[in-house]
Amino acid sequence: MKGMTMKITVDPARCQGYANCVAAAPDVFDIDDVTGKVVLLRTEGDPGEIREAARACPVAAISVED
Amino acid sequence: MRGVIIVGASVAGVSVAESLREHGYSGPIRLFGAEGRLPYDRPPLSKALLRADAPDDPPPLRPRSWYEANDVGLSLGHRATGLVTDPHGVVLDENDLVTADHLVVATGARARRLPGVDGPGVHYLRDHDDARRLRAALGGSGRLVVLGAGFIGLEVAAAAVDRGWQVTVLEREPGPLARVLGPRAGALCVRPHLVRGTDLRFGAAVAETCPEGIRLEDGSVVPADLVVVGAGAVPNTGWLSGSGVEVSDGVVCDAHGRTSVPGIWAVGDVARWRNELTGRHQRVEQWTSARDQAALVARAIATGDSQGWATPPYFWSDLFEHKVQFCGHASPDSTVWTAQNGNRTLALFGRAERLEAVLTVDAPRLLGLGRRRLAERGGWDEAVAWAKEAMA
Ligand SMILES: Cc1cc2nc3c(=O)[nH]c(=O)nc-3n(C[C@H](O)[C@H](O)[C@H](O)COP(=O)(O)OP(=O)(O)OC[C@H]3O[C@@H](n4cnc5c(N)ncnc54)[C@H](O)[C@@H]3O)c2cc1C
Ligand code: SF4
Repeated sequence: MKGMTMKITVDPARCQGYANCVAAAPDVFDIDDVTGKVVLLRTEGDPGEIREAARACPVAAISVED
Repeated sequence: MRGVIIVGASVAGVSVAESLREHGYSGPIRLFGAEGRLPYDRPPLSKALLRADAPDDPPPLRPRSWYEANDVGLSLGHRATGLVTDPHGVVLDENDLVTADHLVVATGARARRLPGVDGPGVHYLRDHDDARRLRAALGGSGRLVVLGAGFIGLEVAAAAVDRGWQVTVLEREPGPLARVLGPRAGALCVRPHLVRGTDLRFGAAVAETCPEGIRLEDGSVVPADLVVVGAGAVPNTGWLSGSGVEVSDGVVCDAHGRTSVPGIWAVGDVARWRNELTGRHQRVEQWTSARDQAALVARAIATGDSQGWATPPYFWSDLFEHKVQFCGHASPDSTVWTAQNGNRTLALFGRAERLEAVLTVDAPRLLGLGRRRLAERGGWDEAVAWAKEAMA
C-alpha cells in the first residue's frame, strides 16, 4: 500500500539530527542544513519505511498515526 | 516462567527491557545495575555536561515511572559477581543467587587505564561521577593535556578550549581517530580544533606523569595542570570468569547475540558480535549499535524468531558546534573519496568495488542517505557519482 496517507508528526525541538529517519525514509524526512533539525518533505510515503523511521529515532521525535 | 535477568543498567540493558515489552513479552524482567543512579545516557558526559552552565545530572534514559509502568524490576547498586548455568543464574554482591530462563549480559566497558599515568590531576571519563569531577576541575584554568585523539579525547579537548583552557592533545598514532577512521580521514574531523588553536601532536609516546605534567618516552616534558586520558575502553567481563561463557576481547557472540551458552546473551559495549553486513567480528562501542543489538536479542527471546545483525555501525560526535557522523567500517587500505562544499564535508570509504563507510561533518542528511546505501550494499562507483552530485 505505497503512498498511503498517515498522520506523521515531528518534534524539531527533540530532534538531535542523528538522521536515522533519513536513512529509513529519505523521501519523507530531511534535515535542515542550517538548524540541523528534522523537516517533513511530504506527509505520505511507504508506510513500512515511515514506521521504521519513527522506531529508529533515538529520541522519539517522530510519531505516526494510521 | 522465571523470566529474563539483564545485568548492566545502561543504554543496552534498558533497551533490552523496553524491546521485550514492545514484543509482548509478559514474563518477569529484572534489571540489575552497579551504579546507584537511575540509568542515564553516556554521550552527553563528554559534550553538554562539561559546559560551565550544564545541569548537574545527565537526563535519565527513562523516568522512574517508566520502569513501574512497564513492570521492569530495576535494582540499582548491585554488582553481579558471578554467573552460573543450568539453571541460569547470577550471583549478586558475592552473596545472593537469582535465577532466570534467559540472562542478558550488558555490563558495558570501562576506561582503559594507562600505566604510569596517575595522580590527583589525572581524569578518566566513563561515568557520571567522572564527568562531575572533570567539570569541576575545568572550572579553573590553565594547561590541559589530553592523552589520546579518539572521539572522547577530542570532545573533552573542545569543551576545555571553550572554557578557556590551553589544550594539547598527545596521540601515539600518526593521526587522529585512527582506530575508527583509518589513517587518512581523521584529519577531516579535527579541522575545528586547528581553527581554535588546539595543539595536536601525533606520534607522541607518553611515558608517565611527572610533577610538571607528562613525560614522553623521548624524555621531553609537556607541562600540564590537568590531564584527561581518552585511551579507549575495556569490556567488563571479569565477573564471567569460570562461568563457561566464552570471553575473548568481550563476550563472544554470533550475529544474533547468542553466547557460547544457550539462553545466555550479550549486548552493547561488552559484547563482540558478528555483523552480517560488514563481515566483522569485533566490539563496537557505539550507542546505536547497543540499541540495535538489544532490539534483536529482545525479539529473539520474546518471539523465538531471531534475526542477524546486518545494519551498519553508526556513531556521531560533537566538536565545538560541528557534528561529525560516521557509519560503516573503514579499513586501513580502504579507498577514500572526499569533498567539501561550504561547511559541509563528505567522505566515502570503499574497497573491492563496494561502499564500506560514510563520514560527514555538518551534513546529517548526506549521512542518512549514505547510510541507506550502505545498508543496501551499494557499489562504489554509484556512491561516488551520487556524492559528486550531492556536493556539487
Ligand atoms: C564519555 C562518553 C561519550 C560517548 N559518546 C558517544 C557518542 O557521541 N556517540 C556514540 O555512538 N557513542 C558514544 N559513547 C559510547 C556509548 O555511550 C556506549 O556505546 C554505550 O554507553 C554502551 O552501552 P552499554 O549499555 O553497552 O554499556 P555501558 O554504558 O558501559 O553500561 C554498562 C553498565 O553496566 C554496569 N555494570 C558493569 N559491571 C557490572 C556488574 N558486574 N554488575 C552490575 N552492573 C555492572 C555499569 O556500571 C554500567 O552502568 C560514549 C561513551 C562515553 C563514555
Ligand atoms: S531520527 Fe530523530 S533525532 Fe534523528 S534526525 Fe530524525 S527526528 Fe531527528
